[in-house]
Amino acid sequence: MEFFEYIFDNGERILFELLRHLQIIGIALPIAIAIGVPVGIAISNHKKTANVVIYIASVLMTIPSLALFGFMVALLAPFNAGIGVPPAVIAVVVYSLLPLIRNTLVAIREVDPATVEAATGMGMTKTQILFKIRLPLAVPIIMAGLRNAAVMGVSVTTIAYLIGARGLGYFIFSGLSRSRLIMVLVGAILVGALGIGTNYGLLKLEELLTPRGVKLSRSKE
Amino acid sequence: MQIRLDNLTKEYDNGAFKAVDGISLTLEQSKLTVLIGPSGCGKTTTLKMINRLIERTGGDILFDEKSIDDMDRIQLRRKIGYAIQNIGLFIHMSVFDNIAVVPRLLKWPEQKIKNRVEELLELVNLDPGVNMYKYPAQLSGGQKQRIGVARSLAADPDVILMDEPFGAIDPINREKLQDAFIEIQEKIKKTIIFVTHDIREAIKLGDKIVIMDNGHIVQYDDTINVVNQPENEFVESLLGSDRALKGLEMLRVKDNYIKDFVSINAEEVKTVGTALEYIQKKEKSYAYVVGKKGILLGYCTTERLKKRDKHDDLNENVKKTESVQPYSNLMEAIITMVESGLTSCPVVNSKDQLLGIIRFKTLVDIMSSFEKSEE
Repeated sequence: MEFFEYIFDNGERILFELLRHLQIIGIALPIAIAIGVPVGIAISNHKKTANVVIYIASVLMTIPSLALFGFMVALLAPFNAGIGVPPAVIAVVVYSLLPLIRNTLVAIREVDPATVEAATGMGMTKTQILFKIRLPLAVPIIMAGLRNAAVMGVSVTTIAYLIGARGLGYFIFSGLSRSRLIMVLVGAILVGALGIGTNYGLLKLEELLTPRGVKLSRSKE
Repeated sequence: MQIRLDNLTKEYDNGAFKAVDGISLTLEQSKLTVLIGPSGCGKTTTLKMINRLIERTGGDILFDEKSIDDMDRIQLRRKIGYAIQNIGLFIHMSVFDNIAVVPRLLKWPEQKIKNRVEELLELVNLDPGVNMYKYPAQLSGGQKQRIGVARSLAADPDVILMDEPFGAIDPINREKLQDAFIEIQEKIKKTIIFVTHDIREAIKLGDKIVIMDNGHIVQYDDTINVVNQPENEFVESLLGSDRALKGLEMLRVKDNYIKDFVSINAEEVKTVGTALEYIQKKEKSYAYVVGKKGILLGYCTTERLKKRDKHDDLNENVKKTESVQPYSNLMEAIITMVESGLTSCPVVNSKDQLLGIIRFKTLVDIMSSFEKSEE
């Protein structure tokens, strides 16, 4: 009962932090897509460069999020951006790069060589092959990378509360420091639900964006 | 468009390996030329140099005596139809969009494209209404292959390159596709260069055959000459010991059937007695029976008719039989005869109307002419 009481009493606050949380992810993901997908495409033709880029992205991803925030607070302080939303957005972008670059790379590379040969033999230019053949076929795999990134973004943003970005992390961390377990529980449930909801929403989007023919051939396998 | 290969060469590793070693030949216009040989003989490399999927390292390729170097690679490819073994259909595109790829690259108006797609689907024997907006995943292997062929014809190219287009199909459907394809080529008369490793397919489809080995041409001649006069032991072994039989596969029923034969029209002849009398007068032991509009019903033998009362209904004494069509090959005709036990085989059109018969004696004569040249 106490749980629902808390939610009723703090409805406005919950809405605010939820929107803030979504705002951070909502800014970060388009930036991550704008960087990750083109990079993935660009390196798909160069094996060595691809290996280096994937390696760097993997290293970035292994940095614990608290440490990353530490770096950012120190490095961005001179620009007056060490705390708040900007470092949180940057962190989500950094962690999203690996799944997006890696999935784009794999998806573009693994298009059936016979398909590409047919397209080339029919007189498509490289650019036409990329936009008319490779990318449409790559949609499901790239979207899987995006879902991966988004779910990770939800959890990273939670921790970003610690550097003043606000968001749903407020309920968890404030709750902990005040020993108000109900508050922690509300925060945890909200973050969990948001993660699941984001994944579900993006799955629906994936279904919408995946060409019909690709879905049919997948369901056949 | 005439294509001439002049001392065409493809070297790898700075000349350490020559996949194609200075071949020269002129591909005849409106003919289907088959490139055949063991794997690694350079047939596919030769084919792919023609649309520059592989760049040659020496010699030249001339289209109507114009060097391939003087043409834009992309524009050239749009003018050459291309069909490959794994079909390479775009799974995310409908049948319509797959066929429309090159016409769209060439910026044809949409209405013209739509008409063309419908026309091509009819040509490859697929109902446009049913199939136009299906996706490759909804088609059978044979249907996909037909779409692959239709797609290579889309922009009405003068030249079509085909790299084992029926390679991935089971033998039964492959035969059907080949028969259909022969009929299509009869209508469109394109210059086709066709790569295969299947000698039966080569004999069946090719107007001319280029036999390759180790990057060289071993023999280039009309199919009938290759079968009759193999250049050397290599060609003989490629043809196999049953080449007289294989020879039958390249010959069409339409060039070997006779229209002068005995048949009975069941519309006019109703009784066993009249029929028997008619056949005996013609000094035959059996006759084909046709019904309304000349549609083949079957045949009746004098042996059977004699056992019946002469007032019996003729229709009840007609035995059904398989038939062949003008574009079937003589091998199919022999098989039909073996099954029916008759010394001839009826030839019908697509509406089952009796056109003529093909006689066993004709086939024997043809085979013995192959055997003779074999000695």
